[in-house]
Amino acid sequence: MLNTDTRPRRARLSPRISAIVYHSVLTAVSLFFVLPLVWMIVSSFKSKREIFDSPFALPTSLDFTVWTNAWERGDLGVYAVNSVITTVASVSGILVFGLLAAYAFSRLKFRFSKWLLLPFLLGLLLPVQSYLTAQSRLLDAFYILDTRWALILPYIGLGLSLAVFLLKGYLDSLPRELFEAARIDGAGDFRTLAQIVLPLMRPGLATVATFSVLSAWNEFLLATLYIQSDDLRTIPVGLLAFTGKYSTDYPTLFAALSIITIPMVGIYVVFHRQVINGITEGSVH
Amino acid sequence: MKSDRVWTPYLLVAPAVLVFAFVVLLPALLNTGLSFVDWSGTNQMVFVGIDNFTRAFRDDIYLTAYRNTFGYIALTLILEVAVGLVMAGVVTMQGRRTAFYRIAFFVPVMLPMVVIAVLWSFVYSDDIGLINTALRSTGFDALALVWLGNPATALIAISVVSGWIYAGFYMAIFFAALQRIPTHIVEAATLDGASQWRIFFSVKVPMIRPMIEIAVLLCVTGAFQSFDLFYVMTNGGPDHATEIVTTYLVEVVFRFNNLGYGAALATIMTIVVLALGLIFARIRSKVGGVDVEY
Amino acid sequence: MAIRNVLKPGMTAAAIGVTLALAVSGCAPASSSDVVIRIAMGASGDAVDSNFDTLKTQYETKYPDRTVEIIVQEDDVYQTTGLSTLLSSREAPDAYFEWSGPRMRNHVADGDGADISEYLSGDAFDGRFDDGAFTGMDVDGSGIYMVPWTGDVTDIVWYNKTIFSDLGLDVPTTWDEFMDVCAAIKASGVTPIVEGNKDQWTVGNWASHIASRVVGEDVYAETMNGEAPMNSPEMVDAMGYLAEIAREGYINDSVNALPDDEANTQFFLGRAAMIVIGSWLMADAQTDGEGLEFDYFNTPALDGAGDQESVLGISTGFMVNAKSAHIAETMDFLELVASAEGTKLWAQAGLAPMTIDPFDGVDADERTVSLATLMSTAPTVVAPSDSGYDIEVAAAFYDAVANIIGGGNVQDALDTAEKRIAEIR
Repeated sequence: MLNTDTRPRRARLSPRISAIVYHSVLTAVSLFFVLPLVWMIVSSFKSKREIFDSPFALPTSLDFTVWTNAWERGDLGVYAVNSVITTVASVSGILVFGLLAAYAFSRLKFRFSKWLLLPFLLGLLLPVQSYLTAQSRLLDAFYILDTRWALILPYIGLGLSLAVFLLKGYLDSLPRELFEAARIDGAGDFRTLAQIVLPLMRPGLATVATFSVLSAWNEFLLATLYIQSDDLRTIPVGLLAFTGKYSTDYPTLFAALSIITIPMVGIYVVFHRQVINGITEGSVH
Repeated sequence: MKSDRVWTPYLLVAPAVLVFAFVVLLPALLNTGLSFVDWSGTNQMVFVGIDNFTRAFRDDIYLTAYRNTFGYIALTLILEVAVGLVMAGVVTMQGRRTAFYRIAFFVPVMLPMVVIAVLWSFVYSDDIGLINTALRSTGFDALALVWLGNPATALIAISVVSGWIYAGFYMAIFFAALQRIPTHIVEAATLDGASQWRIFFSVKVPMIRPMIEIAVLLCVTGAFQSFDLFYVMTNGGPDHATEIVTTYLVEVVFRFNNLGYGAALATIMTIVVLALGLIFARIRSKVGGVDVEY
Repeated sequence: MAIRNVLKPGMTAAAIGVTLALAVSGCAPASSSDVVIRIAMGASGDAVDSNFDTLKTQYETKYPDRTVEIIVQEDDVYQTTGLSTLLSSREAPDAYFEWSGPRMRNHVADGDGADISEYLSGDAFDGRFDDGAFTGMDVDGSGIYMVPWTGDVTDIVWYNKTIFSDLGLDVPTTWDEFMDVCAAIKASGVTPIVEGNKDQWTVGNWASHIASRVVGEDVYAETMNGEAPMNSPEMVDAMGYLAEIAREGYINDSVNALPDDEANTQFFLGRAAMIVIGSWLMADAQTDGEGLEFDYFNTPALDGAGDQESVLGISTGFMVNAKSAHIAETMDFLELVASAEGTKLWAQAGLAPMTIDPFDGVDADERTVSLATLMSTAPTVVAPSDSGYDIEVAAAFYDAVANIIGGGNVQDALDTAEKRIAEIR
């Protein structure tokens, strides 16, 4: 099969050529992923007419006033603060409630534990749209529509299914002896939880946290239906309101999109390992 | 293990169970009840039996929405899962440094869907869009279609955006699984003289099959929960060519104020999704605990 | 790593504390004033928004123990899901923007609209409106449920005067002339008409107007209420006019993908010679239309049973929530909206106020004034099907219209709409 004459030459040339081909192809694919984002940033520095007349041209100057303008006129700061509050609150809820429940379901024997666990399985499969009508009426009946609770509570509920099952899986895999030893030492449930379980659970909690942070940060449907006051809106809904208001002011619009996108990409570049881990693992479970 | 106090376990599960019951379980049950009434949200509720359900099966838009949803699933299985698999194959070829690419491919997963939808509406724009200006400037004027305004291309156009977001995500899942294949298996195949592609498709892919099945499940159930892209980019149009179950549901409930009918549509969707989930459940349970390392 | 730090036990407790504190603060009342009144509306431009802020300040200065909250939502959101969600929530608005006619009557039927005729006949509003301003604001001839705000002509053909004069074109008065104008513009390489029909109401409104002209106003009303067939031969004839535009390529290819405001921009940038949209284009023109020479004409005469001089338009106003605990205080605010000073603000912002003195002491654009005259002197005013009639029938009709303007078959499109409407009946 192999021609001994050509083999050394192939061995010398082929890796280099194939490496060039290989990296060119992958660079092209990367461009497909990155180009729309680059185009977005570049366009924010152009005038409306330039965007229309020469979409590919580079901007003539880097004038950041359009960015500050977008930030101020669009109230992006308010939306960002709202997103942070909503995300921190719901993710804290998911982590704390999820860990407590997972510990009980995994390590303690009690009556009805199967029946209490079963509904969370349903939560993994049910799309939120299949009950959001009733959910909105219920939230309204408790006077929490159009407050931060209207997002925090559903986000916690949506995240709990995954958290309970994923953390329970982690706890199930911990050796029994660990807990028995703690018991012999006289540690109660809460002390065991705080001193033994918590440190061991860091990877699992990090996964749940990453997954929940992104879900809450990016959630749109409930945020658009349950929040009507502009000063409580989160980033996705606020941005859409912004595009409705300035739909033809393309530079400002591209600036707003860039302002929202760049920090997230920045955070991702720093924590990419954890982020990719968290999201993929969170989804697969 | 028994707890030190009888009430401790209940205390531990109480917050999770209560919140979950309030925002998921109770609404799910109430929604089933609402399926059997006619109600605008403010007027008197009237019990109508299964009328809402029979109406759903005569509702051409609702049926179209399912056709579109399944079309979307088929397209995203190719554009997300299959493309992701090939990409994972490419980045795991031996002796290549690929960390940069893997990080780049994953970027879109990080961004809010609404931001992506707005951005891609501009990418597809007939006047200022990247695609059509590129086509026109290279002489392919005839190919410069109105991607989102043409019933023939709108669903494909949205699926491409979906692929742009998730191909990198599935690549990451497959990459992690491929990394766990013992090296001696691949080495054995290499010594046999098999090409990289051959090794990938006939050795590696069969070994990560369970992960591929999970990816297919994720892609299918995820499609039923899609909303943001469709809502922002086309809102179901043109002429319902991109109407999916969720966009129609929101229109019926929040625009036409037809809460009972909307609830019935949601109930039917729930049954469909649960049925699909159960079909896959067997596959899933076979896989057991998956341990992804990046 | 930030995420991990949060997981330390002490930090977890702190996180719970923060959660509770933040959540509680999110629920705290916005102000300590005794009376808070909420006014909801869809966005109609920066100028209008800032006018409401001006009135809010005036009101709060005049009544120090009261606070006004202005809730402004994105326009399409407000009309579709926004207002209905607001009204069914516990913190419902005390007053809200709405169109006169069926949409207003639906709110009254739902118990969300208060009869405010007594307030309107009181001193505060005395003489601010002609009786004609209240047309469509009653229910079966009794009561008044709105404080009139603006009169919108919802579709006229705006045209670029420079393009018309360069090509030596006159304003068309019949459909055939209109088609000739389109042909000439197209031959010169410019898009004749640009429409942004992504949300379906722009071409939908125009189709409503054309339908009413062809089938007659009464049959049109019956059709849009779901009482007459959508696919009658007359309706097919009517939609044939739109099909002709699609067939001849007189409209932008992107019609069904383009958002309405982007279509406005294209018109302002001179990329199309005409746009069919409402009088509110004047408000946008103040910021985006600099230097553009443009004017308008009414949809040219067609063949049909309706009044060929009819104007498509609808009056808007503010309804007061019957469930409001502060109806009198709300009326005090609406009094400012309708006052001479308020009127001046709206006219300056490019709107056409419904008060008796819409352009007194204001240097209003002559087109704004002539549009107000067009509306008030029209022999027949027809309401668009989405704001004037049954919302689900309108949705089915607008689907058919979008299909037709996209090149679809007229009969098929209307048959599909009729099938859907039959299901609702």
